[in-house]
Amino acid sequence: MKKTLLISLAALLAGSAAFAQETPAKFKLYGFIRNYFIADTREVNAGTNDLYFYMPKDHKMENGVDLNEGFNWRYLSLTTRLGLDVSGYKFGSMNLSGKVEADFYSLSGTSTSAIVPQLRLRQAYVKLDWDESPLALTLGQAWHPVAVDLPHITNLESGAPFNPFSRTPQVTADVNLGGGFSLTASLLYLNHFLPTGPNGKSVEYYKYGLPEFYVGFGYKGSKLVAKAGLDMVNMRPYRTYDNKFAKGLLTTFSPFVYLQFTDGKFQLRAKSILAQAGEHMNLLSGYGVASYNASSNTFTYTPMQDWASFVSFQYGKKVQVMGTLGYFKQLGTTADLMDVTNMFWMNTAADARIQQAFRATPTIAWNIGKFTVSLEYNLTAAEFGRGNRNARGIYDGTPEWIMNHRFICMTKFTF
Amino acid sequence: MRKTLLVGLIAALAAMCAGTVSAQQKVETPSKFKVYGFVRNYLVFDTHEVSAGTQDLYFYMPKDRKLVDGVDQNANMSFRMLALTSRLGLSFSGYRIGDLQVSGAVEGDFYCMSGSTAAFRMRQAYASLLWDNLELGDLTLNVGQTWHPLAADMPHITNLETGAPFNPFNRSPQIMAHWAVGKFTWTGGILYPMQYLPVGPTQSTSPVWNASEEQYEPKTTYSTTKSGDFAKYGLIPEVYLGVSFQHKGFLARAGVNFFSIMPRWQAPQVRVVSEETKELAFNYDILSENKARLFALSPFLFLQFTHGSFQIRAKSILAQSGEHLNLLSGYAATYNWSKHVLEYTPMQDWASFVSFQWGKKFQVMCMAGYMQQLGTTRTVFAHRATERLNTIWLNTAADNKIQRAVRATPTLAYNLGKLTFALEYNCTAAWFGEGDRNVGGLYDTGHWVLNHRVEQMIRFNF
Repeated sequence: MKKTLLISLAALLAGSAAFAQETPAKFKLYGFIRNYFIADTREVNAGTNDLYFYMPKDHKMENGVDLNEGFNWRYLSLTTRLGLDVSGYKFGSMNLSGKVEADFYSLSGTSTSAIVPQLRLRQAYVKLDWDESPLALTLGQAWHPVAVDLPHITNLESGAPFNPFSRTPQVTADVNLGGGFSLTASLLYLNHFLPTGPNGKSVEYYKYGLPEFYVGFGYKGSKLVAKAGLDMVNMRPYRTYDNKFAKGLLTTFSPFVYLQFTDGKFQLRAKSILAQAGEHMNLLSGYGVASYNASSNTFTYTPMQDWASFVSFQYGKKVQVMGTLGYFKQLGTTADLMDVTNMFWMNTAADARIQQAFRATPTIAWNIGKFTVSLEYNLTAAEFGRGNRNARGIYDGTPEWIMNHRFICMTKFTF
Repeated sequence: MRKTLLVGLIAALAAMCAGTVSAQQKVETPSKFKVYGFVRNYLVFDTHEVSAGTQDLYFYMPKDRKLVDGVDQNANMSFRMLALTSRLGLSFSGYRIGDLQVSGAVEGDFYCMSGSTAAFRMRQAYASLLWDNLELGDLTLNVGQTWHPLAADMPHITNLETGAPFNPFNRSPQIMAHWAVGKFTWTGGILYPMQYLPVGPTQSTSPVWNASEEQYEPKTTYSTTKSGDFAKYGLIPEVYLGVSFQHKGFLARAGVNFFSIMPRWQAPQVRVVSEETKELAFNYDILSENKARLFALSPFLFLQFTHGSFQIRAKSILAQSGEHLNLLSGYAATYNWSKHVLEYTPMQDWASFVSFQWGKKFQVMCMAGYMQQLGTTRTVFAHRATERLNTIWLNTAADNKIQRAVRATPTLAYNLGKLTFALEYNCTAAWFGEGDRNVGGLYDTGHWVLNHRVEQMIRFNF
């Protein structure tokens, strides 16, 4: 490893050779125009004008009638995407490529009249590699290494919260170990996908903590791709408390494994993650205070553990059949919570009472050259906890399942 | 001078007319387009809480101390790593019709935060109209949003704020003419504020319970706001006049900026407490629209010398009410004793920097900046802590108690073709006033607060 890094450093410096040849970059504009027609059978927690579907809402009972039941629909061209790929630039032995990608995702205006779609940054990164070097660096905002492999699904949420979903600013090193094996290590920060805490969703907890760290191994063969990795977060939920600097970091470890098998037109993917406080990856998770030492103003925190998994497949080329099955379950915090009511924070993207959920999404897609029409049915059932949370953050009453049926028709012209 | 400008204007109009007529006979040369931009990643550490924008990347000033039991709660480390401010632009050139050549650019970056997502924001959108080889030189007319002439020359620095508030920072919609005659270029035009706005008074009225009368009564509260309305109702555009001299590696610019706004607001009636002691107070029960106008003049000087891979730049501006240039400035209310009306007096700032850059592949850079508020040009009206209305309106981008500041930014950059690695240390010390302001709008006592910022930047230009 040390040798690899030395070689890479030498390659980096070699790039500065006085007679380094410069090859100009090539540009490629790409993107798509995407329309979604979506209908739900009940109210849902969802973002971007309800396109980014997260979970069904709980009952809202009035005189015995659930006011959250009822058909609703929307038809939108939001999330239409534009990107610019830069490739081919070479300076000495150093090769550079890059990407700037955005979509019409954010809505400008006030919270009650946000109506004008704005271009939102999805990715902006540069990739560096060197001739004869096994090292490649990614610098900028790109997919989180835990989230990058997505299930076969056409709806916008791409499997969340059964699959991690995050793009973050990062410095990622990929080392080719030979024989199809690779090592990946990253330092990550936050941009769009934020952790929760005492002040709601905020980047502040990272700002006063340490960088997120990821390390993983991968294998890529002719048909099989396998990855295993560990994500580590060290953040500071309380910067100050009781008008004094607070001590203590939330430290979490989230291991995951991913498998992909491809044979001709058939592809199978499966991922499983045991996430601790994974709400910054858009999982239905969180954390709380385990103990507090008033004399030293020190907090210890305990993360909620989530097991989130999916398996999905795709078959065909012109006519494609796809399907995803997802399941997640909250397993409770790793230690007893000190104050379940006031010092326990869960992802606010959905109802915090949801303890486990299931999703199935059979899909049919028809590809006519660069034009795609797809029909997807999304069955999502969520278990809402009742009663009170116990010391591990799990509800002690008899839970209740609530279901939503979503029907999606998507058209996409890729250019 | 007046005659020269008149001749230039006539020449430009004649050239426009000639271009229009001849366009019917002449072939039109199409535009060429070029996509450009960069991916930029910042990793930034601070030792103190800071007033800064765009997820703390646009560093303005340290925050004041927040003392609790003798401990400054704002003195703590923080970091962030972001690919915000990555940029995309489209430039066009080569278009020609008759004697007129047109070029320009549309440029944006991912800068604004819409919730927690980074949204695309327009930086520049302008067309540059050129009539060259006129009898009296080349005439260029820039129409659209681009750099303010006062801000266009920047110090050698890699952090996002590029010298603000020691250097003016502003891109504005403008119509700006550049008339190049030999080594001199005469510049003049009008501007309007867009993103970088002046501050001013605002008020809101809400019902407050009156216990003695046992009823709700309207109560007006006042605050400082940034708004384009102050210029909108001012009707007079911002005006810039300047001249540049360029010879070999030497460049010098001098100019003056005229800015006039009308902050329309419901001002409380002024009550004369004592003619002898010149004591005044507000009567908040009687409000009337104030239509006084603020006038501000800001002269500046810029020098640049380039020799090989060495370049040195220096700029100094004596700004009046320069907050729309992102300087730490503003204005205050003053009382006209002869007319018995409430008027405005600008806060004067002296902001300066000197910076250099040396090297091509390895670059060493450094900027030293200093700014100081010099006080208002006239006596500030009855500024008392007990008044509901603060009669001084200063830039809200940082703590308005900051009266002077100094910044030093030694930088090392390593360029590998179009890829740049830079490491910059930014030491900024700000002096915060304490107690009440004096009649010049300044504090007599204060304390220094220091922030150390270490910033690493990686940029790939394309």
